Amino acid sequence: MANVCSRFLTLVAVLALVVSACGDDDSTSTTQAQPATTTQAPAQTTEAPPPPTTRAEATDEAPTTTEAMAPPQAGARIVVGLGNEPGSLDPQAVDQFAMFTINENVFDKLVTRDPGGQLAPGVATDLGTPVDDTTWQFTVQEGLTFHNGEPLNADAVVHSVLRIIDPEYATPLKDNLGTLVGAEKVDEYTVNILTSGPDPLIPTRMALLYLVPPEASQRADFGENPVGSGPYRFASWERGVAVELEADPDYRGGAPAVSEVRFTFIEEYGTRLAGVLSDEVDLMVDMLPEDKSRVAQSWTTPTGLKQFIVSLNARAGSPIEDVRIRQALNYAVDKEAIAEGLFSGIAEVLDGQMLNPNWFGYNSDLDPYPYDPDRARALLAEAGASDLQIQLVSLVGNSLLDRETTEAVAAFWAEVGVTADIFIPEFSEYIDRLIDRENRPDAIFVPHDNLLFDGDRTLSAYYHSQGCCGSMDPSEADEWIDAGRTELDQAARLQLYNDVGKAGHDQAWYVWLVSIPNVFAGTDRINWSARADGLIHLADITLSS
Amino acid sequence: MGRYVLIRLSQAALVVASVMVVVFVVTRLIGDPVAVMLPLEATEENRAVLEAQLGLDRPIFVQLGNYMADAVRLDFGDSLWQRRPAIDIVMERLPPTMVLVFSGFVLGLLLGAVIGVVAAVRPGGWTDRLSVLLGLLGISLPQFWIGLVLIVFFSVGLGWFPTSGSGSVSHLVLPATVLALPIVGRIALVTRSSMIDELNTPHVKDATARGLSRTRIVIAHAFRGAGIATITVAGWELIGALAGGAVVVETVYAWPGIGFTAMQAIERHDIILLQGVVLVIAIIVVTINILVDITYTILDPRVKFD
Repeated sequence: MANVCSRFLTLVAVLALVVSACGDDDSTSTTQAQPATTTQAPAQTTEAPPPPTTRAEATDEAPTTTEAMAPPQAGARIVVGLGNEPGSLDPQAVDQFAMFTINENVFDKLVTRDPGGQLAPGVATDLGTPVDDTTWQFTVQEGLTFHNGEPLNADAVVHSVLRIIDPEYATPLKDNLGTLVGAEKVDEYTVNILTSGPDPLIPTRMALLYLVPPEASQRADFGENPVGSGPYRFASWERGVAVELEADPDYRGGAPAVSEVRFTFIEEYGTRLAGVLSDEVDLMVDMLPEDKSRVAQSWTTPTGLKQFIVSLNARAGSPIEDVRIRQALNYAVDKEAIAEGLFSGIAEVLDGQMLNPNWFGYNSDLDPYPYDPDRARALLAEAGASDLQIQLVSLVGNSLLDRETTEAVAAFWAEVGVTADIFIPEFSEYIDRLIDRENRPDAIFVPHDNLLFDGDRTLSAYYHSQGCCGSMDPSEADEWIDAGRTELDQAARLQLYNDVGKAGHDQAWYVWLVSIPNVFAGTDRINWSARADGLIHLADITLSS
Repeated sequence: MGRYVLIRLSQAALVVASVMVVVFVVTRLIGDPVAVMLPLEATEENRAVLEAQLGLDRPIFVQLGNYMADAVRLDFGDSLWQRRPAIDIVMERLPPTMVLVFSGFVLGLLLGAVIGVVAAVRPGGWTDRLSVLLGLLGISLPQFWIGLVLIVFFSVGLGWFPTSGSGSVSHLVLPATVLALPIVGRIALVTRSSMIDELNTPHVKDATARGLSRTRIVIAHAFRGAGIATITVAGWELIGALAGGAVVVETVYAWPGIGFTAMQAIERHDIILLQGVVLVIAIIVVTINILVDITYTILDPRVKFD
């Protein structure tokens, strides 16, 4: 026995040694390689300690956000479970919600949003002023610094803008920047944001543009060791495991109540939920609505962030070019049933438009097409389309219950005699179909989101005949959308968007389904409420003892 | 022996190179990373800019040529997701996987061998039936499901182990156990059947006739003969745990190894990182294969390379 055993063990040891030799030089033996230490990011080696005197000066300045800072709770630490790990923590380099969720606490912006989603001054003193058709002027609050001591002034803003628009830098966030072409310093705290033409969205765009320190952001490892100016400082990043932040005790609004935060990356949903159930994770993102009763607390964003719609091909020559057919396809679908049945009541039925009530351009006069299968059948008969057969392109695994929602729509259509062949291609082929200007699908399910919270992006993409994803012939709406893009008078712009929304509603360009909020789960020690933008402002969190 | 190893090594190099080519072509045929990296409504122009920046606008054979030329210089490209060398990421994630696979493999091998031997001693008896049942359960229960069940029972219910993550031995217990289960099952069944064969061979019967103790016969005579079959299966189990089991188990337990990385790369269409993961796994797999073959000669002098 001893002989055989020793051979077994020798074999195993040899295999392990050889295999581990393929690893990096630091790990000479697999049994010694502790994952926690080998992947540790070099946390603060490149950061200078923040000068405490300058950062505490801002207390008598205008309140920058609506966050009420609670008194610090000594040693308070929470764990936040995220479903994704960002590829980089450079806030200008990647378009990943997990990156925004973390960096929203580390970086500042000229403009931010209040919990309800409305624009509010960030480190700027107000929401900016248009000086002429191609210039917006912002004033930065005085005396602010980044965590490494670099001043947050006009130079930092200019640098941040020039960095993100540099074509060499090739940011995937380019779609948020619109007409932005440059920035110039006026004086120490005043900066002009330059656009290629009139752009009413500049304050909105600034609410997605994180300010980075001119020196630190030029380092090659800035994405791994980010330096911001927000209420939390980056502490460490154990790749594949967690990012740790620590509260800045000298933050201008007062030190946050929770002093240490660990964002862990648990992609598997069941495991993440188990983390909350076992009190290992205090707050998690993306809970399924059906698990609401299992957790101590859950929160939903006040409005939806993902708009589920079905685009209908209204172009001449399409099998559904007759507006009566498209209206019938709207009347046929019971959106309330989808919101209640599929989404356990957390989803809101869209008001016959793609915009949410808290997005700029929302038309408060529009209502959803009511569920009326008889009317749908009558309209179809009138249009001579009682045995209609169309293709419905969709996708799976991209958004919560996307395939199930598509199937529900097809089932409702079947009840009024419309046969929909559901086609779910691989994701990049889905994108090809969605943006193919020549051959529009009869119907295509789309999960749309718009972090700008402004109708411009949504309407340009979906209500403009030349937009990426609309399926309609040119109409007056094109002109209204084009006009709105350069209309600096916000009341006039709102009117234009309301007109576009009405036109789309009457033409039934879409079946507007539901708006899906983000759902969070947490333990009972967390005092917090979800924001409209779906981000987590850690400084808002306090803990019950 | 030296010549044999040389031949095997050149075959191995060929296998690894072929794997690289296949993975390269397949990943480029099944999806477009740009589609995942940009918002749904990104303009054609912005898509084209990113595509050009990533070099994905060139013909696939040009891309493949560049990739192989860079690979010769040990440059395997930058991860699209993390914007840093893919091979650095894989090497960072390799040690946690080694710890997990090694623990699961040893646990599975020892438990499997013990269960197999116990079962073979009294074929048809209750210990045999129980062992076969356990073995079949280990093989058939999906690791994904059993992983979550163990979390619910031991972490949420009893609070004995953390639900996920890494960094301590208690983090290792559940994932290593789940990884070990199918190994236990297959090793137990193979050991059992080859032990039953061995116990019926003339030399074992001879030993019984000579009045040797049952324990000595089972361990020193029969198990030694059954070892070859167990080693063969063990080699495959190690490969299976590394290339398959680790992906599932690491994903369920958020264990920061290469299996989890492979999953992350697939979800994000990070074809460069996926190539890096597959390359490293391929190298390890062919290495294990060669080692298993060499081990035969050590365990059984009848096996010759010629």
